[in-house]
Amino acid sequence: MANIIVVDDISDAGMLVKRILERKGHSVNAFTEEEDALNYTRSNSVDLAILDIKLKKMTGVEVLEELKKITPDLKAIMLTGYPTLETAREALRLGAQEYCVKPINKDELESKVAEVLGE
Amino acid sequence: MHVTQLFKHWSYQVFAPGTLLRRKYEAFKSLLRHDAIALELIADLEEVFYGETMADRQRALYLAGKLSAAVNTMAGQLVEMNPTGYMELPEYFRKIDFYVRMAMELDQPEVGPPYILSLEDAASFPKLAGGKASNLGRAANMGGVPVPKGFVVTANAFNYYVDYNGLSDGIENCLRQMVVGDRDLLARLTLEVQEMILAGDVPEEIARGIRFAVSEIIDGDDLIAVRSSALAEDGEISFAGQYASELNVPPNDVLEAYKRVLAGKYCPRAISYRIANGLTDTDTAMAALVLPMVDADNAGVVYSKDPDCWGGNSIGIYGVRGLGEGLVDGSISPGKATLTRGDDPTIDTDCTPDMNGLPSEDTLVRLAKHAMTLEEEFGGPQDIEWAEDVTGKLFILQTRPLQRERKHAEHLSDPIGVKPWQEGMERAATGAGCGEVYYAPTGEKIARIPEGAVVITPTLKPALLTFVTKMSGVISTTGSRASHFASVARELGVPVLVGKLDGELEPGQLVTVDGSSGTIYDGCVEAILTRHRRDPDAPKVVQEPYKKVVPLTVKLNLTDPEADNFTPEGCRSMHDVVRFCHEKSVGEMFSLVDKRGRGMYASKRLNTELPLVMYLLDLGEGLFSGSKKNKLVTPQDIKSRPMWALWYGLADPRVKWPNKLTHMDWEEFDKVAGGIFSFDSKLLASYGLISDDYLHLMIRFGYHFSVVDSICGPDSMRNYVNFRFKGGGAGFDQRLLRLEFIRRVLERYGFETTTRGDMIDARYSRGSENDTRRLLARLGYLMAVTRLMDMRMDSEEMVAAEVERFIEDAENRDVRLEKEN
Repeated sequence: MANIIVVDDISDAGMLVKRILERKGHSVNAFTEEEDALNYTRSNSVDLAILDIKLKKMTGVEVLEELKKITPDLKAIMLTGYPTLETAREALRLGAQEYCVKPINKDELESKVAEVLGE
Repeated sequence: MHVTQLFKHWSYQVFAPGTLLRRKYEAFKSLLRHDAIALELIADLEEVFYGETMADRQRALYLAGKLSAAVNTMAGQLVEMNPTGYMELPEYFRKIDFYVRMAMELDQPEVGPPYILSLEDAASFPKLAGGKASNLGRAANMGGVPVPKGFVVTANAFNYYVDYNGLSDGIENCLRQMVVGDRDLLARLTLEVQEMILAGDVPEEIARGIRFAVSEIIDGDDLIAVRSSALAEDGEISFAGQYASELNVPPNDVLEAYKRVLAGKYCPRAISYRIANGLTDTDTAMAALVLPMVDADNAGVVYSKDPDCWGGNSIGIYGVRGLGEGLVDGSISPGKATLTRGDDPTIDTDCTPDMNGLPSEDTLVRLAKHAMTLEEEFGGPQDIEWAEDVTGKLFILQTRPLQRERKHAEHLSDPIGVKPWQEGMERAATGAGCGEVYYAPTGEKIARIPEGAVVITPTLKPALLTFVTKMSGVISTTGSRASHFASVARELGVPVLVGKLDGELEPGQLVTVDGSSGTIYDGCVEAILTRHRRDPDAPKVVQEPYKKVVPLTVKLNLTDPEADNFTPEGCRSMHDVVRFCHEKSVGEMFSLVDKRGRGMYASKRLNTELPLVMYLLDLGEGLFSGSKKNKLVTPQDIKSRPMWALWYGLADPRVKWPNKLTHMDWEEFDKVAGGIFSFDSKLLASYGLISDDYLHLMIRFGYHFSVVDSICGPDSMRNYVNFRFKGGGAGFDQRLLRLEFIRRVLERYGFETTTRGDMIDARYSRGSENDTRRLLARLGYLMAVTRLMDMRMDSEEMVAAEVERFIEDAENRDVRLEKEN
């Protein structure tokens, strides 16, 4: 099972994702602060990051870029309520596997995660 | 959801319910209009996605954009109809819309420098130099292979040219109209694009670069050649002979020649070829290779592995005197030499019919050696262009992978030697299938469709969707390619034909349905079935780019309105949203007028011989204009097509109505009053909302009530009849017998029915205006006949007999209906 981090500035949103994926047997850590997520990734092996685009200090795309520097083969799913083709293009260029739009339901989230993890 | 919209909705509901009804109706009409548009677009898109129509990617993009706009309107109108009911719908629409745009996004053309590359550099940048120049650059860099000096005007230069002259929109506009196979259309549109390109100016930074580079590769006024080198050319796909080259160009004309090469990208056959190979305009951006003209004594091609002799294990050299053009375009038959492959090639005289037009044996051997080194360098057999100038100097001008001959697919219209049972039917979904004929006019019959059947149905109703995987083919009297069913059938490759059958097919008879030609054959015609298996309707390369977008646009997931996922959240594609909006909007109209008849204050009382209290509200063109001012209208004032048809049946003179019994809601009457209400109180009366092509009727007959909601107009895609019947004054068993009678009659007429308790719901959709009108007349007659029937039904046998009698009577009446129209 994979080690997953979720970064969303709204704690409830992150927790919801965490709860859904934990039920699938993954180990999940949710962060509201970008810095905490980066620090965690520096000292732990992370398989997948699920990133909101609108965060507190940085954008999700910037966080993705930083995460990729720490763990180049980390996989990523962007999850946003405010999609734009520009951020989608940029995120995919930086190596995100999926760009998902909120509202996302349990099934869609589970299947995207399984797909990205190659299960 | 906007608060203002919500507030407006609530205040209308309280203060002006009539206005609300009208607005709801207007929204409904607009929704239906866009439903028809959306379904057409879905069918158009499917043709492109599944390769039935070979079209430029721009067309798919354009159609998807239009679909998105239509679906957006539908979602908006559904929210307008019921602001609190579908608040999340627009959000889910926007999500799907974004996914579609993401999946459809085309690569943005690169417009930045470099615009000029040396031939040597071209080897490392195939994405800038194009296939032809890049291959030749590689050959030049090998050392030992004689390649003339030359340079490349890059693909980015082409993109910049288009951008600089502001041609993108004009080109896109033409590309999205292009359909391979429509020769006239293609000729007109490509000419238009070529004229645009030729009228442009070469940007100064490119022009300067070209002039300077030309002066580097020739002396004085020597002639040059400007050759096409499109991206993707001379790779896996050869594009051999698709693009034009400019030969013998004086140096001063180089810019004009360059423009002509760019314009050559848009000749009809190159466009068709590119589309048939699944490539976009940007995928094939046009670079140009500029070389000095070789003053050729001989010229020709070498196949490093010639299929002609020794089973392909030899080198073939073909040549003519002078320039090689006559050879490649096939107008001159060349001389030919065959040489052995290997380090030390020698001429094989057995397989060398005619050395005329070929250079000396020494040169031939050198050519063969070059061919072998090129084959090694490029890792596969090569197709090489060569020329020898008058001084005896040899040049390699082009090298590309040798294309293995592909077998041409048999043409679809090849005769198969079997006489069709019927031809020329409308094709709603392609594919081919053979199976036993099975008639499925009713829901009951549909549920029992046997495995592998060829289903014959009056309409392509959504109820068929559940069983589509069992079908080998479908023949429908009415319907169109723009239906949910046809869409799913196309996805699964089940052939669907539409039209009237000339003769009668026996149940159980074996027939073959050919969806590609619109033909039915008696028996199983193996030739047609195998042709479809071997030669799927479209090549994979054309479908491949759309793999991601199909599930987001045309695929229908919401097939069952009763299922748990029939929600905004359950929508996965544009088609789902279309289906959802259509289903829900009809439902909204069905519950339009509540029992109290709110919003009906502006209505007019219908003055009739029938003992009915009925009020009509005209939503627009429902009544003849002369009746505007009257508070009372007569049946003759009815202009509404569906109302007129229904009334025609309802007022059938054969039905005897009791004189004194005014039909109204007795249940309500019992509840509210001990006779204080007058018999024509609006609270107890029947209501009709009518317009030119719309009818919503709530009719109360004593203890039961019926609702009819229908559109009946010239556009069969929008037509439907929904009918609900509930309640009755008799005992429950008798009520059920009457319900059974109604169900059987309606199923006979092609309605889909569901019953719950003492209520029946029936639906019919997308019939022609005439069919819909006839059904409405029958329905009216049915309503009149059945109003007190429960009082006299007491057995199943009686029901069956009554059904037969009714159908017979109704048919007799129909003859008159047709005559009078």
